[in-house]
Order: sequence, then C-alpha cells, then structure tokens
Amino acid sequence: MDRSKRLFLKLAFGAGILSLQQFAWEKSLDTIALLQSDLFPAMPNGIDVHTIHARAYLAHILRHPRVSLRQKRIIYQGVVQIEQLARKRYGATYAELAAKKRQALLAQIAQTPWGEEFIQEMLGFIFEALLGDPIYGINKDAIGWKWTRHVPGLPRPSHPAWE
Amino acid sequence: MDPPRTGTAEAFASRMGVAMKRVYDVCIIGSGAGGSPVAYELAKAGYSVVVLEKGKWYKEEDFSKDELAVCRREIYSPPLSEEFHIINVMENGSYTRYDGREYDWSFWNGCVVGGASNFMSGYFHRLKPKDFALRSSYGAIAGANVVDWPIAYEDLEPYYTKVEHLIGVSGRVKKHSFLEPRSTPNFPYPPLAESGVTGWFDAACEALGYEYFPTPRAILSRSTHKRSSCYYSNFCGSYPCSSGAKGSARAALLQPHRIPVVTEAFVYHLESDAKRIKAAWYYDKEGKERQVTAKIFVVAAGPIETCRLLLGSKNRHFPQGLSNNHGQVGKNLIFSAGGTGSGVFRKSRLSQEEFATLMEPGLFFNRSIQQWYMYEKNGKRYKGGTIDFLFEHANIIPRVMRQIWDEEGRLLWGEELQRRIEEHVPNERRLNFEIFNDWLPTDGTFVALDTQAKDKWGVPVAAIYLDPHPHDLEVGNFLAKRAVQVLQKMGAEEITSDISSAPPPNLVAGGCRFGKDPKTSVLNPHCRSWEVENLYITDASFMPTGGSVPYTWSIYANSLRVAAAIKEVL
Repeated sequence: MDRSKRLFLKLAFGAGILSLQQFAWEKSLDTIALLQSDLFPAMPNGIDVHTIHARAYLAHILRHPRVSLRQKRIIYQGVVQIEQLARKRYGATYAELAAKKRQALLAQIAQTPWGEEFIQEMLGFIFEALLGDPIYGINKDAIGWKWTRHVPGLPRPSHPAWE
Repeated sequence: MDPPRTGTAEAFASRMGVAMKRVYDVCIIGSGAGGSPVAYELAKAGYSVVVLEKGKWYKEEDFSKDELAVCRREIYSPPLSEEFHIINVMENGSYTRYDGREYDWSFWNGCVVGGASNFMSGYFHRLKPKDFALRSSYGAIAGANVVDWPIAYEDLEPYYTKVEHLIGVSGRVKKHSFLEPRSTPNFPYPPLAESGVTGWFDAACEALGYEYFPTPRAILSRSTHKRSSCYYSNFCGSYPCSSGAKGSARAALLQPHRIPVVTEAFVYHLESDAKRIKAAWYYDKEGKERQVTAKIFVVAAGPIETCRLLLGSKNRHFPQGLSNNHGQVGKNLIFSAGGTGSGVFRKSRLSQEEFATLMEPGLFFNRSIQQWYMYEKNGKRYKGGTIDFLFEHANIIPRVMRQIWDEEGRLLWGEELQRRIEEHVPNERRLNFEIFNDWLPTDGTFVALDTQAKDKWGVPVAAIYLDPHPHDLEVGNFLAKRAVQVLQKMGAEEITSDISSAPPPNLVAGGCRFGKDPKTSVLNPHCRSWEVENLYITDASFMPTGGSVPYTWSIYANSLRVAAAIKEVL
C-alpha cells in the first residue's frame, strides 16, 4: 500500500465518512481525474488535464511532505463526500453519471462550505499542473504559459526540487 | 596513523577523534540581517567569529524562479510537519489555539544562510526621529505599552548611512514633509529603472496635492566588484536573487567576506551560570549534539525563535528562561500593522501605447507616500505611516487563481472559468499598495513556550499570542483611504483595500525590548542583556516599537551599532 493510499484511509476513515467496504483507491483516483476534467474541460487550443498530467501531478501532491494535511484532507474527504452525494441523489457513482448530472452535483456542492473549499483546492492543483515549470513533467511544452501569455522568470530551474 | 602535515589543529583533532575545545571571541546564532553585520564587523576587525545557522548555504547559481518550489512548496522554510508554531488568537475575550501544521499558518521567513533577507523585496525606509520617541511625541494610548527608545535617531543615523554603502541602497532622495535628516545628500546607487506607469502615478499625486517619492531599494542598480547589478527578472520579492543584487546578508556580507558559518546547526540551549553564557548547544545536520564556546554570544534567530531559545534555556539561576528574571522575554511582540489594496488597469481602457507601457515586464514601480506619517484628525494627533505602491507579483498561479471568483463572488469552473482567464489574465495588470503603520505593543501579544507541542528535535515550539490593539486598524484605514484616492485618480478599476489585524509573518519585531530600566526591558541601550553580561541580541527583538516602515534597514543599522559596542568590550 503506498503512502497516498495509507493517508487516504487514515483521513477518510478517521473522519468517519467511509467504511472499508465502500473504499476503492484506484476508483477514487479515477474519480479525481474525472473531476479534474469536469472542472477544467478540454479546450480547442489542445489544453486539457491529460496533456498537463494533472492526475499524476495530484497523486504526487497527495504524497508531498510540504502539502499540508488540511489540503490533503479537503481533497480526500471531498471525493468521498461527492461520491456519497452521487449515490444519494442519483443512485450511482460519480463516474457513472452523465456530464450534465455531474455538473449539477458540482453546482450543488459549490453552495456548501466544504464543496466550495474542495473545488478551490482541486482547481489550485490543476493550475499548478498547468502553470508550473515543465521540468516537473507538467505544463507540457509550456502550453499553459503560452495560453496565459506568461513569461517565466529567469533562470528557470535546471532540475526539479523534488523527485 | 601518522599525524597530518598540514591543516589546522582543529582539523587534526577532528581526524584523530579527539574533542578539542576552542573558545571563539564571538558566537553568533542566526545569519540574517541581525546577525551578519556583527559577524562582518568583528571578523573584519580580526576577532575569531563563528556563525551558527539552522539552514543551508545556497549561492546565486542555486537559485531559480521556480514558482512551485519557492512559493507553493516553500522549500527554503522548514516543513511544517517538522517545525511549526502554535498561534493563540484573542477571540471574544479568550485565546483560540491554532496549530500551525493544521492551518498552514507559518511564521518562517526562509531558514537559509542570510535568513529572510534573501526573500525580501528590499523596500528600504529609515525610521523617523519621532519613531524613537513615540510616547513623548504622541502620549500614552490606553491598552498599549508604548515607550520611547533609549537611543535617538542621531545615534542610528551613521549606521543607516553605512548600510546604504555596505548592503547597497539605490534611489534618489526627494524632499518631502517627513524626510528624515541625512548626513549625505543622496543614495550611493542611482535609482533602478522604473515603469512608465510611474508617470501616471506622479501625475495623479500632483493633481491631488500628495507628496510622493521614489522608494529606496536594497537592490544594486550597478555592479560592484563583488556583486552583479539587478537584471530585472520581474520576479524579485519572495525569490532569492540570482545575481546577488538584492542586499541579503548572505550576498552583501557573509559570502564576499568569507565569514565562517556552521550550517544546519540548530541551537537549542544556551548554557550559563548566574552571569555568563558558557556554551551554545546545537544539533548538527546528523542530529548530533555539539557545543560552541565563546567569550560573547549574539543571538539573532528572529524575534520568535530568539525568545524561544531564551525561554527554553532555563537553569537554577534563570528558572523562567535565560535573561528573564524580570519576566520580560517574549513580551511586547509586535508586527507591522496595516494591510494591502489594489486597483486594476485593463487593455480595454487604454491606448495601444499605454497598454504596452503597462505590461512592460521587469521594471520597478518604486513609489511611496509618507505624507501622513503624522496626521491630525478631529483635533487629535496621530502617528500614521507609509504607503508603498508596487505592481502585483508576476507569479502566474495566484493571478490565475484569482479568476475563480466573478465580480458577484460566484465560484467559477469549467468553460466559464476558462473564458474569464483568457479575458483577464493577459489583458490587465494590478497595481497594489501596502500600508505600514505601528502595531501597538500590548500585554496580550507575546511569545511563550507551548506546553504541549514539540518540534522534530523534541524541543517545545514557540507559542505566539496575538491580541492586537484596535487603534492599529483606525490608522491603517485612514491611510488606505488616501491610497485608494490615488488609484482612483490614476483611473484604476476594481479598487479594493483590506486593512486587517492579521500579523504579517515577515514583519515581526519585539519580544526582547531594549530600554533604560532592567525591570521593563531585556536589553540595555547597547542591546546587551541586563542579566547576562556576555549576551547580545541583534535581530528585530530589540525594538520596543516598530515605526511605520519595514524593519530591515533598521535591523541592519542597529546590528552595526551593536557591533561597534562589542568591539569596545572585546
């Protein structure tokens, strides 16, 4: 079991939100990836969450020692709660829902303090993958910088600050 | 094993596995703006000096503008999982406890050689003569522990001037109502190149009848024989400088003058008898306990950590902590009060030429107003403050993140958010202002040791107690109104201001006041402990009041002043 999975269990079960039977780590990562594309859909200019490796980046972030427990908890618990809401409202998992229903769920949770915080954190890490230095395996071909017409500062990093 | 033919006695002893005790003239704990000037002055005078620094030594070639590493993951500060603070905030009559680890609330400012000075923006203002006599000049304020300093502006002026040359201050002196007396007509380095938008600002101020001046900066506008000039990277504040132009204690003092620094050395205890410190104990990078002995110890770990070290260095002579038999260590912690604000300039409201001027990267804004450093309102005299104007930081992630809210405060995502980013981010630039006014010292704002939480070494962490005075907000709001008027006159849109009592973690002072009375201060006027005869404190802890400017220039200047005093007794 890797560190993110252990942390997920600790945070999600510790909060009393999820039972062991309900838990499926890989599915949760799939849900996270789907949420990322719902929050930041593919654009005509070729930018989407897949080309910037947003899923792998978030999986990395959830293991990063310099990302706070609070932020990690918001992500983990948010995924669990949106799954619960999907089941309650539609009798299906988030991934099983049609795009319109997923957007309706996002609009619903955006009205709650936890949902608002969850969307903010998810967007924050999407933007890190979109706009961080490509040396981290993100922001492929500096596509995010080109889109926002951002000129990065020099010198750029010659190596990643972490593996 | 044959003895080595070359090398120092210490190196030989080390290789032979023999502990050898060397007594330095001076041991300095902390290598930032408070500690480094003492190290520089005393090493230059021929004394044996050692600096103990918790962080690593980085050089210019190690630095980059890596937004994720430097600003998002804060790689130059300790991970909060290992080192943190407990923050207790006065709310409705009692303190609410916040664990820094849980709330991402940190008071670290860069734990590396040179300390926080590596990451400053270098807005350099001197204190004014009346800042040294706040109580005498403006009277007492109920609920605030305002006192006069035990020295006058004239005592510090020669050292302010020395800092201009040694650290490197660029700018142009322009007369205004609160320009402090100077012993030289101008700064040693000419002004940095400025954005054309300063012309809009100057015109607005002149139309309003407001006095403005170019902000002095601790950034070299031309190279010296040991440091390169500014290369206008557009990413200055928050980032360590890749050219050495920024006047960090590392780039300006330690590095060019080869001052010996023991890095990754966390000092956790000062061993003393009733009168003198005998040794500084530290953990090295491998976690081994080591000690340094010296004739004089200078503590400059930053106000919060300096207080923590003294409070933790208890013994039978100092049961409440070192130099704390009058209960003053940690008391009267202060910050810079005030806040920030901004206005937006958009392409849609500008000519092509004006927009090109607006978006030109790298050039500095560098404008300040001190017209209300003192003001009168309803027949009452107030101590006011400084307003600095600057372009928003060039970091892209926060600029994009700001777009997730629309004008009605609605959270956006999806295509609607993407359209908003495209419309706003490349087509506008924000001009910010920062207000600096006095954070009045109060009984309720102080540093103590937390009784529960310990850091990775098992040492109790600092507990910061916050109970700001409401007067701070009144002054901050007065100044913010004037700043807003300037932005309005310039034609900015979406003007906002946010004056709050939130303590800025990079503008901390007090906790070990200097003064004339040992019962109400920790340090004498030379910043020597009243109770421990070989202990000096030279970070911002000494300040009984903070003035209404960023502190760094005053810390540098005072540290040079104290170095002169130490030379007298060595």
